[in-house]
Amino acid sequence: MLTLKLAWRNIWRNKRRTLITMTSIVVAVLLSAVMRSMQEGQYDDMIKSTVGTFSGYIQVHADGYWDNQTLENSFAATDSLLQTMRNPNNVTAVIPRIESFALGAGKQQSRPVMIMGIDVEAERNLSNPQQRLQKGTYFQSNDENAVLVGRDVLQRLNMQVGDSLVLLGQGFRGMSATGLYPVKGTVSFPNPEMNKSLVMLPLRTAQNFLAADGRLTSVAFKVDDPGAINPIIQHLRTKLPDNYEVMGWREMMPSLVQSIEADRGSGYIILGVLYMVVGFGILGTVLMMITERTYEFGIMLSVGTPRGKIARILSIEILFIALLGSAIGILISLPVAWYFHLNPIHLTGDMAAVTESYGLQPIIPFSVDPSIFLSQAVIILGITLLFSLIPVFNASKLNPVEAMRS
Amino acid sequence: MAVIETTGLTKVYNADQVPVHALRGVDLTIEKGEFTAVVGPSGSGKTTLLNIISGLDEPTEGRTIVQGTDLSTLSDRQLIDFRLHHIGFVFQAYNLIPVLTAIENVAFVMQMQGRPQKECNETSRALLEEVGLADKINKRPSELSGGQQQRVAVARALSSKPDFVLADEPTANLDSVSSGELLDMMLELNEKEDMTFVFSTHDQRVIDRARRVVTLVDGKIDKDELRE
Ligand SMILES: Nc1ncnc2c1ncn2[C@@H]1O[C@H](COP(=O)(O)OP(=O)(O)OP(=O)(O)O)[C@@H](O)[C@H]1O
Ligand SMILES: [Mg+2]
Repeated sequence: MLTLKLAWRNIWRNKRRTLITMTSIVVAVLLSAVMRSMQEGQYDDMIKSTVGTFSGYIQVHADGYWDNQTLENSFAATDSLLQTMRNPNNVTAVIPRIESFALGAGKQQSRPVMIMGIDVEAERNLSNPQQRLQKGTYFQSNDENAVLVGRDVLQRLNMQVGDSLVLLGQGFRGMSATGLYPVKGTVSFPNPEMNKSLVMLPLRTAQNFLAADGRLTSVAFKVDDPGAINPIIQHLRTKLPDNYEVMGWREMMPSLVQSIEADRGSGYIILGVLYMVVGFGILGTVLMMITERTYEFGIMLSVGTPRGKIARILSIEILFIALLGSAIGILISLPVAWYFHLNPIHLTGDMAAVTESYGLQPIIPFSVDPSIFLSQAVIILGITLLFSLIPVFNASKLNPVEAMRS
Repeated sequence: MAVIETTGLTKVYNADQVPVHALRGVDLTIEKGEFTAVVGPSGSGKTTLLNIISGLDEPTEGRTIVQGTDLSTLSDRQLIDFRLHHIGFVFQAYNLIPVLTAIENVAFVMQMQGRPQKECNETSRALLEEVGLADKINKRPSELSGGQQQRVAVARALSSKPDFVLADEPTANLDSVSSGELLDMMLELNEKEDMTFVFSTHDQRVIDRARRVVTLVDGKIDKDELRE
């Protein structure tokens, strides 16, 4: 009780210093939390625009397909198999696909193209080509004899919507694959590679073309909560036969994961500098706090105050300032992040061009993941306490005679 | 048994550079109920002696025995505890904890001793009345005059029921009226409660009221007079 009373009154003894210290903690939490929120928001956006709108957070393939992506590693899609995949909680939709490569030819030009057979209905859940249509119309059925192509494919092949595209390639088990398909429309993807070479066919049309009736190369998953895919992956791994591989997006896209990690790392270097600045600021304040009261501590030790009590009083003072500062820091940074979450910063000019070339929207969305704010507050709190440790320890080790000579 | 007994106290500061011999063999015995002034020119070793007697400092040689306890046998932690229970302190100035009121300052040492809150309050109130500050119990030190602050310090020194009260120049920062009042009050407590006081001073009027005057010169006892 007495310890608390002393700590509390000492906090307000020098109001200005307490408020300045607290403000520096608030600002540190605000800066670090908002910066992290911006970073994580960008990562979320990157993941969402690649994973969330194309590959899906989870895919199932025949075992070995991901490392060797050929039709020989496709699998026969039975109803019971698809039913097993639909089963886990949190799976919103499963999206079957058959993918391969072929040569696409117009009247004068020919180019290698990516072939992607899609389930006309299911695909709306993920890449949703209908919504990305630039010209023309979407498929009517899975049997329709038509293709949709990436935004830039027609220009590369010197063709128009309505022209026929010749596809030449190799089907399942080495069968030759040829076909002539009217181009029904063009689709704009966030990824430039896909704009240049993707050709979409209705699923059964593609299976016919590739001589792979009823076969798929992948099933992509749409999930409720992208943060909670591991239980689904575990579930699928136990339920599906051994000759299937279940992969999360991190496994499928290690380079995306790596570039996010690298960027996060460089962010932490900047934050590290901020942490140091805050730490030494705190060190200065605490040293001042103690130096001012050295004489008083000398008196207290003389009359028989245990050393531990002096350390406790100081620790409570610092803890209180740090806790309150961190809490206010969270309270202020959350609405800031919320605002930019709802109203992302729009990039213009060169910056916009750069982000677009990476297949991203030219905006900086902020993340409002509470763990970001909490962890920054905890880190700043930890740094404050860490940098106070030594001065507080020294204060409790004062020699009373020397302390009173000061 | 004497309250304080020192034998052959010497204190050398800066032993490794230019040594300063602050005490050169001090043998001093103080009995219960004495009212002793330690006097002497500046630098004669008064503060050093009082610090050693109260276990705030260690002698280079010699021993201090307080109520039968040889202070040199105590660890730092034990010394702090010993001071808490056996010695009352009044320093020259700024004795009090600034954020505590007069009554809280007096109760502070008792609370450290772990006495019940009720006893702390009652005793502190009674002591403040005794030193003439009944109407100031809820004032902070900054709201009290220097003399009033010193009286609170005396009340605090007594609150722990110590074996003796030690005061290093308690009147140095006071005007002559306040000095006189503080001394009268200490004398009264000495008579009424049989409390042992040892204090250092430069002030002749203070010296005149002491019952025993120990004069230090150059770290040695030059005179030791009893007056009546
Ligand atoms: N911590 C120290 N380090 C070095 N020398 C010291 C220290 N403390 C005291 N001295 C020296 O010891 C001698 C005695 O000092 P002390 O403070 O005991 O004298 P004093 O009688 O209390 O003087 P004053 O009347 O001025 O208070 C002085 O020469 C002083 O300079
Ligand atoms: Mg002195």
